[in-house]
Amino acid sequence: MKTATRMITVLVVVGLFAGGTLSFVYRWAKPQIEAHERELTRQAIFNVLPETESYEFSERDGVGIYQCEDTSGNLVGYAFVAEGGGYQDKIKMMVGLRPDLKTLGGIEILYSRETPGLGGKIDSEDILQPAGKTFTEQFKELEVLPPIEYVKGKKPTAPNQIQAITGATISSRSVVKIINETVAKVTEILKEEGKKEK
Amino acid sequence: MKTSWQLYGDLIKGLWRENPVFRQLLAMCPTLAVTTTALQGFTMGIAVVFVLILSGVVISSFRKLIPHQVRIATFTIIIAAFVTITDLILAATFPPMSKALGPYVPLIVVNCIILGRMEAFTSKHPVSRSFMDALGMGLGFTLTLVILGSIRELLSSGAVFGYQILTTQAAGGWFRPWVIMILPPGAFITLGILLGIINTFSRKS
Repeated sequence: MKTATRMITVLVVVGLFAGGTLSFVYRWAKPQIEAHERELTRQAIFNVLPETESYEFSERDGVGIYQCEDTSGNLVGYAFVAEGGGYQDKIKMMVGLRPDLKTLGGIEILYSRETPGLGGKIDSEDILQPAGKTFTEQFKELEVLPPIEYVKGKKPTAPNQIQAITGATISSRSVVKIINETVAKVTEILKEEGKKEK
Repeated sequence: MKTSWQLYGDLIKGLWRENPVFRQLLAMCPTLAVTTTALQGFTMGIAVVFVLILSGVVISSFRKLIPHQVRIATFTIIIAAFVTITDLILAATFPPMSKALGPYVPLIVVNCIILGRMEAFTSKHPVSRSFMDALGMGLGFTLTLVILGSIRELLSSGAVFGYQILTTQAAGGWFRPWVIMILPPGAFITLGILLGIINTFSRKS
């Protein structure tokens, strides 16, 4: 019985101490971690819609949308996080959509674990040939109506086409698919709202 | 005089004679997974040093109070607390590194070097010797990860610690990066070759 009491006492004391210390450290670390995340979001928004000066976040039908305005208060577009399955793990990216809902401002990959050297090039500085741009640069001012298509090993001809990465068709296709699906969803939400306002 | 030699011995054995990775083949999961670059290996190693030393000092100070039957449970709670603290500090101060290491920092909880040292050494020795043992084992682990990380980073991108040594073909040089070195097989191949070399040498002496 004596051993049992001692065992319980020691475990309880150790547990309480560990819990107390952790909550103390957590309270110190939480604001800093949140600040880093906000900063990352802010930079991603400026990358996908470069004219942005200020933005306002709102959740509409379960989709978080950043409404972005320039210095004089004009709407420059909508930024939102698009997420979906890639080749190995999910791909998460920030997408900027122009107010006409037909053109992209650009995209930035926030999270991906594609094969390094192949699918990993969706988030690299490597210039694709013959398109002459990096993979994400291709999405700048790309048309999304009709939905984005990808071509293999040749220069895109239509304004809604991008060149897929050689050896990483699945990753390229996943990015295109995620963007198309999310853009369609966001467009619908924004159009619904437009109708209500009128 | 005897004690200071003993302390020196406790420190130095982790670096080579009982190196946790090369000689004891412990902690293979982080060793293979995070060594894609030298800096990642180094950060992981320092995180382990931090956890090893702090849990070592705490456990060694209270070793006589901990009942034998629940020692593993007590060690695990203490180790888990320090690992979570390390993870939070890393996320708050070096967000890119925290993102690169991903789940491998929380996984230090189940790192067998730490529980192994606590059980085999710290729970039986005074604080000073436990501290030296933890420091030695931690530095031995860090050293190994940096060696593996440097080799893999050099062969996969021509750089070490981000410092370009070989000019890659993309930048107009001759070196063609080995994609395999950044992938999991590269870790197994590098570790296997290093272990082979080390075993050959230690057999001769």
